[in-house]
Amino acid sequence: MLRTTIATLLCVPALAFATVTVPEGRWEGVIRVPDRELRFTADFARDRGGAWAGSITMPGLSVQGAALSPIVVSETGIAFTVVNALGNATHGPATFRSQRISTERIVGEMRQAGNAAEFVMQRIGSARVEPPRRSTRVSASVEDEWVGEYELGGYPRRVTIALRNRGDAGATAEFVVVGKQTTRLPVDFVGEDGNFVRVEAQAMGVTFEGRFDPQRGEIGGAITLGPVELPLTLRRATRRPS
Amino acid sequence: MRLAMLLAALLVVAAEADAQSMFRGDAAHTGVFRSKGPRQFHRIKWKFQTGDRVVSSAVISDGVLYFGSDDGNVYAVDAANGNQVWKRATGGPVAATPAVAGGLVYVGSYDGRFYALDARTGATRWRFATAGERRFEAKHLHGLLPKHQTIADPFDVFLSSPVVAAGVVYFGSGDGNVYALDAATGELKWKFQTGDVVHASPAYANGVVYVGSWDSHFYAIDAATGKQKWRFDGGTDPVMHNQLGFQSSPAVVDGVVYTGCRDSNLYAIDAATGKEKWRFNNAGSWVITSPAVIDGKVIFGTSDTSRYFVVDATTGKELVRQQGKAFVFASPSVAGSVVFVGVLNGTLQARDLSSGELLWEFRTEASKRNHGWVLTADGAFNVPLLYGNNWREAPLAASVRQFSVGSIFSSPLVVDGVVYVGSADGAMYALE
Repeated sequence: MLRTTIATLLCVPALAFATVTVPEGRWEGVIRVPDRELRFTADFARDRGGAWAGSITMPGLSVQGAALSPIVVSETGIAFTVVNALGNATHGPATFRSQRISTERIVGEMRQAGNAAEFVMQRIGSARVEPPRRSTRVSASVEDEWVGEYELGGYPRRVTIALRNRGDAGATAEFVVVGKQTTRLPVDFVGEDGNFVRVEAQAMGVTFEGRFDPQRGEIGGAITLGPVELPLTLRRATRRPS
Repeated sequence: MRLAMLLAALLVVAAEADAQSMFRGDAAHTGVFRSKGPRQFHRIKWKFQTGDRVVSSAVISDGVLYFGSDDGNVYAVDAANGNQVWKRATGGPVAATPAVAGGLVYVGSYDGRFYALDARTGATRWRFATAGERRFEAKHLHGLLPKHQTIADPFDVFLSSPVVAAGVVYFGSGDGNVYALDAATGELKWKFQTGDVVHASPAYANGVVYVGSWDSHFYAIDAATGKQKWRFDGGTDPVMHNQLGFQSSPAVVDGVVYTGCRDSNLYAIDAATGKEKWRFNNAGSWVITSPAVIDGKVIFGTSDTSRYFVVDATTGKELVRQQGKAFVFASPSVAGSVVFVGVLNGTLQARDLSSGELLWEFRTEASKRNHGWVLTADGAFNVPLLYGNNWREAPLAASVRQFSVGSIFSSPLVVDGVVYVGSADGAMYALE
C-alpha cells in the first residue's frame, strides 16, 4: 500500500507535466523588472491548420494586440516572441520562455534589450487572439505611383508612394522618402475606405492618410511621423492619358 | 630667493584656484583644468549625498567645493574629505553652477532670485530678484501631444551659471534677460532682453559677454554698457520647436566663439564680428554640451546620436569620433591628457585626449541597478520601455524615469588628480 502511495505521489508531477502542453487560452501575467512590474495579457490559440497564433497587450507601454510569433509549444513548455514592439536593434525582439509550467500557471524568463526578468502568468479564460490587420485592395484609379513633398526642420523631403494590388492579399505600397538620404519604409498596411487612402509603416511610426479627389487627380492629406503631422498632397508621378 | 620662490608658488596656486572657481574653469569657459587627469579609476574617494539631483557642477576655492542641488540648497563641502562646511537653503532647485570671487559665492535658483553668499559661512550678503524663472515651453514641443498644449521642456535642466569679471557678475534668466550686477553690492548695472529663456551660461572675454538664448539667437553684449555688439541666428523649428535654441554655453578662445545649438550644429563664430566661421552638423542631434577647447581642438558630445567628437578649431574638420551609448548633455572637461564626460545613462567616461578612446568608466549605483529597465543591458536608453506614447504627461514621466539611473548632467571639476562630479542620484562624487 505504502509502495503504491509513493509510486502514485511520484507520478503526480509527471502526470501534471504531461497534461500541460496546451497553453490555449487567455493568460494574465506580470514581468518582475527591478522596481517595476510590467503587466500583460497574452492569448494563445491554434488556427484551423493547427499552427499557434497569439497576441499580447501591455498597458502603459502602448502595446495592444501585438502579434506573438513564433510561438513554440513543446511537451516541456512554451516560448514566444513579440513582433514589432519592445524590440531593440542590438538585442532583437522581446522573448518569453517558460521554465515551470502547469495547466493554470506558467513561470519563466522574459528577455528584452539584453535584460532578463522572471515572468509569471495565470490562465484566466479562453483565448481572444487579436487578428492581424490585413491590407485591402485599392481602386483602379488609386492604383498608381504618387509623389509629393513636405518640409521638416527647414529641409524639403520628397515622398513617393507606389500602390499596387496583389490579388487576394490586398494592396501593397512602396513608400520612399528622399531628404538628405533615401529612406525606404517597410509598409505593413495599405487600406482604402471610401475615398480615404491609408498607408502605414508601423515599425517606423510613419503613416500617410489622404482623401482621393478624382477631379483633381490628387490625394490630399497628411503624413504622420511619430507625433508630428504635416500636410502632404500626392499627385500622380506621370500624367494619365485622358 | 627661497621667499621669492615660495611667493611665486603661492601665486600659481592662487591663480589655479581662481581659474577653477566658476563654471567651465574660467571666464572664457574653456573647460580646461590644470590638474593631471587620472588615466585609471581607483576608487570613490568620497560621496556627498544631497536631497535631490545634482545638475550643478562643482567649483573650488581654498579647498572648498561649492555646488547646488535640486533639493534647493547651495552646499560648501571640504574637498579633502567630503564633509559639509555649510549649506544655504534657497526657495527652489539650484541647477546652476556657482562662481566664487572675492570671498563671495554667486548662484541663481529656480526661486527666481540670484544670491551672493559669504564663501566662509554661507550667510547671504545680498540677493537680487529677477522677473522669475521658468523653463522653455512651446506648443507641440518635441511633437508632444495634444498639439495645442503648451508644454515645459523636461530637457531644460540647467539654470544659467554666472561669470564674474572686473567686479561684475553676469548671468542669464528664465525671464529672458541677461543681467549684469555689481558683484559687491548686487546693484543692477544693466539688463539685456532676449526673446526667450536664457539658461545658457555667459562667457566673458575682452570686455564682451557672449551668450545664447532659447530665442535661437546668440548675442555678443558689451560688458560695460549692456548694448548688443552683434547677433548670430541659429536654426528655427516652427513645427516642434525641437531644432532651435542655445542651451549650450559658449567657449571663447583666440577670438572665436564656439557654441553648440539645439539646431544640431556646433558653431564657430568670429568673436569680433559675429560672422560664422564654420559649423559642424549632427543630423538632428542636439549639441547641449558646452565645448571644451584646447590646443586647436574643440571637444563636444551630442544628445540623440550619443557621440563624442573632437574637431579642428580652425576648420571644423572632424578629428576624432567615438560612439557612446547614451545622450550627452554634460560638458566635457580636459585635465592633462584625459577628457572627462558625463553621460545621461549614469556614467562618467574618461577618454584619451588624442584618440578619444575610453580609458575608464565610472557607473553610479543607480545606473547599475537599472531601475525599471531604463537602460538596455549595454547601457543605452531602452526606448520601448521609456516612451510608451507622446500624449499628455507620459513623456514627462518618462523623462523623470530616464534620469533615475543617476544621469550625469554636471560638468566634471578636476583638481589635484581628483574628479568631482554630480549625479541625478543626488550625490556629489569625488573620484580618484
